[in-house]
Amino acid sequence: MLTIYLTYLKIHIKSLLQYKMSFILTAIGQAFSSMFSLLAIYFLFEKFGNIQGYTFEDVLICFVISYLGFSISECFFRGFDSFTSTISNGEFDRILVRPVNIMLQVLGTKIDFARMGRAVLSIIIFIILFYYCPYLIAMDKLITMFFMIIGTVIIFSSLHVLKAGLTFFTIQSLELMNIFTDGGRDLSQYPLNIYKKWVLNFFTYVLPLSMVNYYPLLYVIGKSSNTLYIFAPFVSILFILPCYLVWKLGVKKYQSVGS
Amino acid sequence: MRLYIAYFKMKFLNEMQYKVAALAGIATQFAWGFMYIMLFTAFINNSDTSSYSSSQVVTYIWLQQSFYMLFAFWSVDKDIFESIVSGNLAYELTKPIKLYDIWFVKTFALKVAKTVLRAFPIFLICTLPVLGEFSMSAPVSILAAIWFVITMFFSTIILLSYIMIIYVITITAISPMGVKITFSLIGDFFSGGLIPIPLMPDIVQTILKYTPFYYIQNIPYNIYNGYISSNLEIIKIIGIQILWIVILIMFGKFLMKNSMKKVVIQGG
Repeated sequence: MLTIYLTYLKIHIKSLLQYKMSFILTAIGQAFSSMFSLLAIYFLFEKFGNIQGYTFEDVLICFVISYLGFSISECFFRGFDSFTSTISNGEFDRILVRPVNIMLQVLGTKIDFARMGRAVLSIIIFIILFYYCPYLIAMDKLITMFFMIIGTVIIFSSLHVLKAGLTFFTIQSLELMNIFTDGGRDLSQYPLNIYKKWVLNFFTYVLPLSMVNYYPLLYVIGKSSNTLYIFAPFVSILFILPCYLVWKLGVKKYQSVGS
Repeated sequence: MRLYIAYFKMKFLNEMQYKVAALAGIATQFAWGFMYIMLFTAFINNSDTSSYSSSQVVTYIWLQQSFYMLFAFWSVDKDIFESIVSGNLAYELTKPIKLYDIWFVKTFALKVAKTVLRAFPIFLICTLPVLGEFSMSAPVSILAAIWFVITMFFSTIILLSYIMIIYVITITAISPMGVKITFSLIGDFFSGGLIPIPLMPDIVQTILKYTPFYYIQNIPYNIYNGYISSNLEIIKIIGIQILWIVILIMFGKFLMKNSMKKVVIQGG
């Protein structure tokens, strides 16, 4: 299975190298748009100083991790994200007749490296952050942040699978799901408790974004010394299950539409 | 004139068909509206020196969400871009029409249609008192409502003449998408699309007053919510709006004339 995925990766990299300029420009465009989100945060802190006790650096950690996780998942799970076109152009029928795992094939149909433009920007900010906040360079904090990134990737990837799974039932594109994917990304630029209480509750008990983004952050920035928070991102694994089930159900009831 | 009205009607009716897309758009607009309101009020309530009140920000955000499609820089006429990239522009050039004016009218119609479908439902729902602290207030006075309508019109024209410049630059650019993304991101941010201009640092606000971006959505919304209330100032602002319209349209037409001289049709 891994060898097949690696072959897919190789093909995508090769095709990308055919259009180097286009790839670079798209990646820069992605990074450019995140720059403005960053600038917005900077302007707000320039004007107000802090938000409920969080400093600019605190929010920056939150922002960087959220964007990094989101862009990694968007890059590798693009096939699920844009699954509507795979269904409507009949491509999915071809996938079904091949004797290879279906999910693996959907993963392989699209790998969008240009989405990594955001990730590159995030990594640059990360390095700057380490320079200005040397306290972050401690084993426990580094591990926590690593878990946070992985957890964020898991949550957003599961959401992409869920979105694709729901497409089986609606056929049409599910713009509404963007509220959770793009909306989740934008909300989690800031620690989730600055919003209303129900937001934090929703993102804890329904969509466990706070487990990868908020609670471990409290540990990283020293607002809490509860070592349990280091492992909170593991909760994101639970979220895979319902998303996978919806996908499975969808595949089962699938009827071809395209030609 | 009849020609322009015909083009307007065609584009408008065409766009009105996408009602389901509009419905999904409305839901998204609501989610983002709530998110921004919670974020900005958290900042404002946290500080005691803010000159922008939280009820003003609520009204600003809902107006922005209602008229989102009107002032979204990225929402342009895809057909025009396509005609430039595919080379169909050549056909347009053979017709006895003024390309600049037609593109202007088409984009205007498109934006009005998209806005009509979305604005009224959002406008109606967010004024409901059930929303409590999230509900939008009425214009601060009848005069403010009149100023709102007038400046709304001029703001739209400024935006359209800015978009026209994007189209024209695309004709000679190597990477049309790059031009579009760069111009629309800059416009969107500095016109107050991400954060309202009154929440930006003072120095940025001062600089923005010398750019057209300050005079787009920022003006009507902040008149409606009472942030800008002096009549004298509003009259001065309208004067500057007209000035920017003249400058941008003249510049756009000048660029258009120049690029038409050396236009190369790539497609075939």
